[in-house]
Amino acid sequence: MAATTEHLRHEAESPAERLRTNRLGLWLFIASESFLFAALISARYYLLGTERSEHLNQPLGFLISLVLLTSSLFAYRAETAARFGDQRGFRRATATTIALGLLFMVGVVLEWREGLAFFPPSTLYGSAFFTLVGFHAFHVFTGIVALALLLWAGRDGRFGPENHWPVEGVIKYWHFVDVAWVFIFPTLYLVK
Amino acid sequence: MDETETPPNRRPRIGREEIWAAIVWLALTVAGEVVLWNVPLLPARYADTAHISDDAFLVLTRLAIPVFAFVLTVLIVSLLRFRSRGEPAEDGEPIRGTPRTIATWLGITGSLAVLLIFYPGIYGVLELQHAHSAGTQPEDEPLIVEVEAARWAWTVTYPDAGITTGEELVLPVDRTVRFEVTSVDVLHSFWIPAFRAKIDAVPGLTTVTTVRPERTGSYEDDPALRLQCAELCGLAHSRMMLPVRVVEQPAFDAWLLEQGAAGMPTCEPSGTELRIVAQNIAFDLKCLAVPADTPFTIELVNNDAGVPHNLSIAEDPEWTKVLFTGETFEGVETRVYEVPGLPAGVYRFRCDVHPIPAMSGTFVVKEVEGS
Amino acid sequence: MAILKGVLGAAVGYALGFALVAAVQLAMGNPVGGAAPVVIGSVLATAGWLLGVGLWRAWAREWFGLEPDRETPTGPGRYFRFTTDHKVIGIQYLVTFVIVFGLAGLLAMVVRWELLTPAADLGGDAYNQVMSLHGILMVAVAVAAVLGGLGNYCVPLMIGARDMAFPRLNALSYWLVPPVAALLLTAPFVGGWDSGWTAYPPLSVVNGGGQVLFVVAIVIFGLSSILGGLNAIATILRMRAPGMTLMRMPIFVWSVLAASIISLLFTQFFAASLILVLLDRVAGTTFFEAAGGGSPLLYQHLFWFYSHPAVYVMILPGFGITLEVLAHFSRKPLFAYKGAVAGFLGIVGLSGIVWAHHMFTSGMAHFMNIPFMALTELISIPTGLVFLSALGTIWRGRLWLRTPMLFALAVLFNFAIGGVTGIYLADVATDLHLQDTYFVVAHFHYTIVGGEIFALMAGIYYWYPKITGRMYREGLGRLHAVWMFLAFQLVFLPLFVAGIHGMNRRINEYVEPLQGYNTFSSVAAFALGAVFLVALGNLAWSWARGPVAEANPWRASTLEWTTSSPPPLHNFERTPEVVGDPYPYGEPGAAHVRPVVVPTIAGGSE
Repeated sequence: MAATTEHLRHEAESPAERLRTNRLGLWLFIASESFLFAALISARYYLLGTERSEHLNQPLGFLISLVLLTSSLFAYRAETAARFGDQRGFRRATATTIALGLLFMVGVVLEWREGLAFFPPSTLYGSAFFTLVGFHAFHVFTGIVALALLLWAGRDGRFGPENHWPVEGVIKYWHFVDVAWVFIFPTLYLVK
Repeated sequence: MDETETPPNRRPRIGREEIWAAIVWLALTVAGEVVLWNVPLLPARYADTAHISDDAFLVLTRLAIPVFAFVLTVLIVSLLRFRSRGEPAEDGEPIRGTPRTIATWLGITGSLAVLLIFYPGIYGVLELQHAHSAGTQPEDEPLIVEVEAARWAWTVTYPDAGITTGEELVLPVDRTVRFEVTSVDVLHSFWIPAFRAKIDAVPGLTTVTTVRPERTGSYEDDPALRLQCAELCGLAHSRMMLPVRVVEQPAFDAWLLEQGAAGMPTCEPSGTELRIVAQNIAFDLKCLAVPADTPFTIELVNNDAGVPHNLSIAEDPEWTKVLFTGETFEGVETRVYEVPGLPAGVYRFRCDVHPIPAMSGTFVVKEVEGS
Repeated sequence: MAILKGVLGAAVGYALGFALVAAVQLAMGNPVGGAAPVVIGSVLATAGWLLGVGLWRAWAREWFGLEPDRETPTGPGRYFRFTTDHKVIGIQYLVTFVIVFGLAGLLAMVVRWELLTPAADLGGDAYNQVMSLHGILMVAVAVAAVLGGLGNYCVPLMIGARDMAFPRLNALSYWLVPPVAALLLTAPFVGGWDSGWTAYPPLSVVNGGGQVLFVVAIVIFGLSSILGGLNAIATILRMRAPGMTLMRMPIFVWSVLAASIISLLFTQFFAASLILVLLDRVAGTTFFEAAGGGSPLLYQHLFWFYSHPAVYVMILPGFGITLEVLAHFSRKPLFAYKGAVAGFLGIVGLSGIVWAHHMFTSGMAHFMNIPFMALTELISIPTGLVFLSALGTIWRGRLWLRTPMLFALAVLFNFAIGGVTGIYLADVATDLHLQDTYFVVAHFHYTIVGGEIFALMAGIYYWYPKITGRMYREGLGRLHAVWMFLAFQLVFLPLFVAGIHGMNRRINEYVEPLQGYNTFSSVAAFALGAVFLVALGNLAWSWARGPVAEANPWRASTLEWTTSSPPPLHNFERTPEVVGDPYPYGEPGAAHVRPVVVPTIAGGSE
């Protein structure tokens, strides 16, 4: 006979306490992931100092940064909408965030195609560039998948004032991915 | 029920056990220092750098003994005096330690740590730096020795004399030697135990260590006089070793001359079926010879399991005018190369995978009566 | 059965991943095969394994808006599927790592057998593979066995919680471990790897194909470590019973918190350094290739930035167990509790800034030598605080020399040697001689085996009655402790001398004069290996047939002993209320937990 875990929940933690614990977990995860990017960024500086390639497409880089930053704006709106039970607002903002995220990925692909011609992975700068952008893009991709799952799971209106942690968690993760780009972009494109 | 967090502490008192502990600690420390004084822990020293390293080692050991003895003392006295027979009938005294205890302890351990940082620590580093920068004085021109590490053998070059060898490392005594070390493939490490000198061989870098040998000796007398690879480099890492010999200056000069004159060994052709064995990253012959303008075969016996070798013949040491390249294959295997006839001349042969002295030699092609 | 579903999931995942990459390779006109499809295949295989073994049923369904299965299974089958009960997970970790320890121990026997004589018995490649596998398996055991096993089982109990903060994440952390083992054990058969557990490039970029599986295994293992650390921190910070302030936590809990901080943050560097090796191998990058402008030294910096703090992940819980056992079995409060906590936190703080003491002979810039030497030697200070606490606890105690106590005392002896010999390696002048010799090997075996593994033994015997509900045979336990202690000294003390006399590491042939030390050490090693058979027999047999244990056979004061052995599913019938210090020995009336009074029929309460 199986025992349920229900009793584990109601005596142990109130929903408010559970929320705080979840938030702590997310921050710990974000702290850990920032060490990953720190490792890659420090590798870049160790090998190359502040040198960078002459052939970076700066306008494109700036554009995709703008796209990502804007996506965070919509992500914020999605979270707020969920918190207040505005289902349509939540769905629209989440969908927009996903769209902008995909646009970012397309931009990255375009950057890569140019990059392969001028600084392929067999060069030092190319090694740093493709690895940093690649790891970040992987995180963007997982964020997009998580947002899509939110959209799918939330289509029945389940995310509301009483239950918005999944939205909050995913959106905060999305913000983290954005902040990571705020460090990566200057490291690759701007420092001289 | 009292809810205070830390119950009042007892003042540390000096009881019988504390006195016993002090005595035991003193005894163990003295015993340890006496043993250290009398038992030689370290291998023989052949260079100035060895003294610096060994002096630091001895200082650390002299300080380690009372520290370790302290832990041992508390363990021993506690086991003897405080053990209970079976489950204890009562609890021990609720001694929790005062902030002063912690501060005192921190003071002692902190002072010890800081002492070690300066001596032997920083002092030792500065002494080594001084030893390594020796040779900047005009009257102490260092002997430069270039060391090249490759899987799995050492090649040593004396650039001033134009000598390269892979057989042994010979050094003059009482002269500063500056080793310039690099690798052609993976990480290796240049280590001569008798000198206590160690520096990694890194591809793309030239690393340097400077040593002043101060005693003569050879590997046969003392295995510490060897150049051993000290960084895992794969299959034959254990064997990557070169014997070291330290000799008086005149003997060193003579050796250099001998190496220079050795130049090209010669030999005579004796048929058209050559046989050469590759083992331990070395050929067994330094000279091969065949009659001119006659096709011949070379039987290459590769006895190094898993290691690729080949044999190629070229006119020039830079290997730009190659006459023949045999296919590369891994051991253990034997293959026979069929080589078309070559015009008369004195050429060179080598293994292209390991173009080191141990796998190079002279290839003589000679006009022979009746061919 | 869940395991079968997991294997099926793994097979499907591997096929999918492989096919995906192969399709891309075809589309790009590149040759199909090589490392890339294997890597993606292995990653998707791991995902498939997890989903099959229960991640889908119990958790992932929720992400798609479906109802997950929230039932906690009972019966013996629950050990073989995705179960969220931290006690089950703790046992899963312990048993798994006992098996891994046994395998790695057998490999150690092969190593010592080879080193009985100066000549080579095995080929160089075979030996390098054996030695490398021994190393990485043991590092995995050292990093995860105590935290995953005893940490998982005991921490929620010791803080009065019902489970970890994230029970499903906990199960995920465990189920990531079998793929790691599978990959590492497969690697020797698909090209092998000969670069040790440290996997330095350029060797790790040019060697056999097994290196690729090694990299994937480490990335997965890193994930498990990170998630485990995250869970432990959240649990300790958020789930403590009412009244348990941080300064009333048992010292073992502090040690788990400290180790988890390191594990959470630094493990990323391990994965990153190895992924860069993989990229150099597969994607043509040039991070570590001198010809392309890269630097082998970069790898060493990245690698040791994790791997040095990692050794504190290994020893801190060992210190925690040791101090815990010393307090209870001396019937005394932990001496200088705040000092011990400060010691742990000081170690955490310093651990991240000393890594380059592994690189004094690497060719790195000389100016780095002194700072790293100085910072490393400073770690002796917080470590000294731990020793202050330990020695002050047993002094004037009433020492109950049961098996856990014997092991705890042994830790003090062993780590004194291990810690002191570390100074020789921190000092640059001596390190130039000793680096990469058997002195280093003896040093880290004294700290990790002599320190952590002995502490693990102490913990296993201490908590054995709580976990299994049975008592082990004390005579055999003491035999284990004494035999293991003596044999251990005989194996590793000669190796210090061998190193000083010029025996370098990772070799299977050595010069004649070193034979004496090696033969002696090897014979002792066989004796050391044998003791584990005795111990395993005792522990396994007693689990099945030993006498039933009471709730608190040690009359110890911490919370796990206030509930039954083993505890019920929800750990405590009522949430305990903590009212004092965890070691209230020697003070009549002092208590750690408010005693639960059963109300009388006449309606009176307290």
